[in-house]
Amino acid sequence: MTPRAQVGLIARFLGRSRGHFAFAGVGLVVGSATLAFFLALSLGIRERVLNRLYPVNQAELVVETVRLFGLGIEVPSRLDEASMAALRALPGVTGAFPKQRSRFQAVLWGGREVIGRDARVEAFFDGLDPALILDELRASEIEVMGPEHPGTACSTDVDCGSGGRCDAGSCLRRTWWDAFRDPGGRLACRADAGCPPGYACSGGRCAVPCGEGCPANSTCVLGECLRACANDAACDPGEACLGTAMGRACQRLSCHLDDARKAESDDPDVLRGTVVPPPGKASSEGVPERCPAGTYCATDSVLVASGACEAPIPVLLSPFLLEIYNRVAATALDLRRLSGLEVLVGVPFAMKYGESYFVADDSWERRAIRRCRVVGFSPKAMDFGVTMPLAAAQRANAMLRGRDAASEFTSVVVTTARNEDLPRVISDAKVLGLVPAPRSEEARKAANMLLILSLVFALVSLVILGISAINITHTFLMLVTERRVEIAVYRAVGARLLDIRLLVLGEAAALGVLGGVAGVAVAWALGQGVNVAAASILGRVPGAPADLFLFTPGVVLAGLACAVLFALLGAWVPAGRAARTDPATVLSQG
Amino acid sequence: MIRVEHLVKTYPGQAAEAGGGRLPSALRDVSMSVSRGEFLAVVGRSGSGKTTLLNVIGGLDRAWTGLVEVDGRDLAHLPDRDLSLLRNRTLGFVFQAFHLLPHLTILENVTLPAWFGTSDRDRADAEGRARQALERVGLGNRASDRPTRLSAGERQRVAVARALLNRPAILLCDEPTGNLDAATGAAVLDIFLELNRRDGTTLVIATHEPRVSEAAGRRIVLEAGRMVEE
Repeated sequence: MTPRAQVGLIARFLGRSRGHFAFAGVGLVVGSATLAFFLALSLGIRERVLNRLYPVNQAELVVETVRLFGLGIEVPSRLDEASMAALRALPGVTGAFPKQRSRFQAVLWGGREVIGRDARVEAFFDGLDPALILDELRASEIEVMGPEHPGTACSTDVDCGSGGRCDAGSCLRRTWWDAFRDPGGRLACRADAGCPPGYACSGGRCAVPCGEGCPANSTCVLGECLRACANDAACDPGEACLGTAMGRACQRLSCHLDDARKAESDDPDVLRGTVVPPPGKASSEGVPERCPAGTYCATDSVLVASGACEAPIPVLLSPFLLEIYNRVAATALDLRRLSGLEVLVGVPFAMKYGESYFVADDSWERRAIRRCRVVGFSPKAMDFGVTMPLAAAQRANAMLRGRDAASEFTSVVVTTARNEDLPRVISDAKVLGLVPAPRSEEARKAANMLLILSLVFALVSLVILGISAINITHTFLMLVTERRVEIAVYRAVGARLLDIRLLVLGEAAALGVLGGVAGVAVAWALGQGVNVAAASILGRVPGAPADLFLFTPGVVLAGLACAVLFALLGAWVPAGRAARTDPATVLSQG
Repeated sequence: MIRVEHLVKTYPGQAAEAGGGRLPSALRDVSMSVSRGEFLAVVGRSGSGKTTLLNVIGGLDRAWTGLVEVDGRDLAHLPDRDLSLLRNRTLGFVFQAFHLLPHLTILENVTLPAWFGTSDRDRADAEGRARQALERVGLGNRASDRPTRLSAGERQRVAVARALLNRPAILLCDEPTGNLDAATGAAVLDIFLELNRRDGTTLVIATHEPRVSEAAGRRIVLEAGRMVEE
């Protein structure tokens, strides 16, 4: 019997006995729906909630704290580049991304554009390596702000609205995630100890020394490594591509404001100040008169009017911060509530280093004002503060607290190639005195709990499928008995034992496929219902996923495969009985 | 074409009781042969072993001892695949109870053997062959009817058409006229005779009706599982 003939006969069988099969298939539908529902829910929560905190192949490690007589003693005392090198050398580790918190007091103000007046609060920040987070930022930005190519046709950038640009006849909306990178900056100093790691104090400012050679694409100009360039576009904001004895290189533009107090101004025009041309250069030689658009004159301290052109520091906010603002601050202080994450993207604010509402201010000469801009949201950002690129945080810590403070990291996120490598890496890191951070550990515990729950529900669905298999056995035994004459006739006209067995199993497989498809469809529909219900409950939680379920091809396949497998198991005994039908006995009876 | 030597068939339960000497085996040391194109009638009373003999020759019954060869092939040593192919290609069955499938049309019943062929081409031209077979038994105009709408004689003719679909060399018929009235039975018998004379189909018909056995070229008589006359 050919496969095509087999399919044809099976289709006839199914059509004839659809009533029986509908009854027998209910269990398959319920079982596969249960399995697909909980698998999709488990995957959705893991992928869209837990993995946003810490993916399964990542863990945040902190210095182990040994509590002795109620006192916290940290061993080892430092988490620095040496620790990073040791971590990166561990087997299975693919990356170690340090984080650094602010080591000094600061205040910030801003937000007039979205809440109606400037908020003034104590500022906390940390620094994070952008490489760790860019992909996640992009995905969450697309989720909140829509696709980067909205599909609008255009002929010029004007057609694409504010910030958008026309890219090959189609609008490309303004993107923010790619702005989360170190914008660069210049730090005034008196000694090397006042510079971030890797910098030396030269001529009153921190510079990358040429001592051990310059990085690729850099050139050594007067003992300082400068990025080689062909034009200004190759340089950081606030730099200009200027000719030097060693060729053209990016040089940060020096500038000054009319008055040191102008640094507190919110007028972008005032903040751009006046550029001081490098010695021997003039405006006519590519040196702009004012800090380039999008940058400002960042003064060395609040006491002086001179500084360097810098772009605002890009920062990330935690979605939970918005929730706290809406639920607590906006209500208590009668401020405008914020509708969503997207309204905060692009909002500028200022941070004054060295001042505090809680503790004594730093000396005047250490205080400085830096401009910032919100470029995105991430659950990995500080809950009560802002997160900036690591290099910017190190520069700030070096400015206020010196190189030692800028060299020591608060925590490190390690990534592994395979999920199963992570427990071993965590175990190995303990030897280095590093243990999982509480938040990372909680995420891991939640993931483990989720795994256990998933297994329990998978077991429940398998039990349902098992019961449905028994139901299928009964139904098929009844059908085989009903069809014994038909089966005997098939044998008489040339059907093999295998043909008969395959016909029954084929019917069961078809029933399994139909039951599995229906089950997965039911699971999907239930999931949509749960999403709607969850949206009404969790709608105000920033960052709460719109879809809690993740119906991957694997989930669909698992639902289908289990339904088919249990249908086949249920039909196995009836198929054997059908094949054993004795045609001689059956056909001899009248 | 068919060779049977020292065939013994015992049904389960019979052996134990036969050990006590009370019940005979279904077939006891039957030996016979049928030549190509021959029309053999197997005669005997009910329970004499006629149906059992046909089932054994047709490969529907495999629990026996002795030698049975059909078209040169020893059935005892044929695997299920080859035996099924033999039933599909070389043998045709006609049963006393017709055994048409009520949920299929007449045409579909007749094409049934083609579903179990070894290639899809068998099925592709099966409809044409089925219509020819139905024409031959005089039911060409009933192809789309269901068996339940046919008389007993018509059903038996459909069963004959089904047996003829793959143009088998041997036709095994078990009391083909047993459920038919005299006139209908005669018509069916005429079809068998025509098949035998015109196509050279080998016929083995189990019957207890004298007019059928008289029409046969040769007859064997079974009594209590033993061949008593040839």
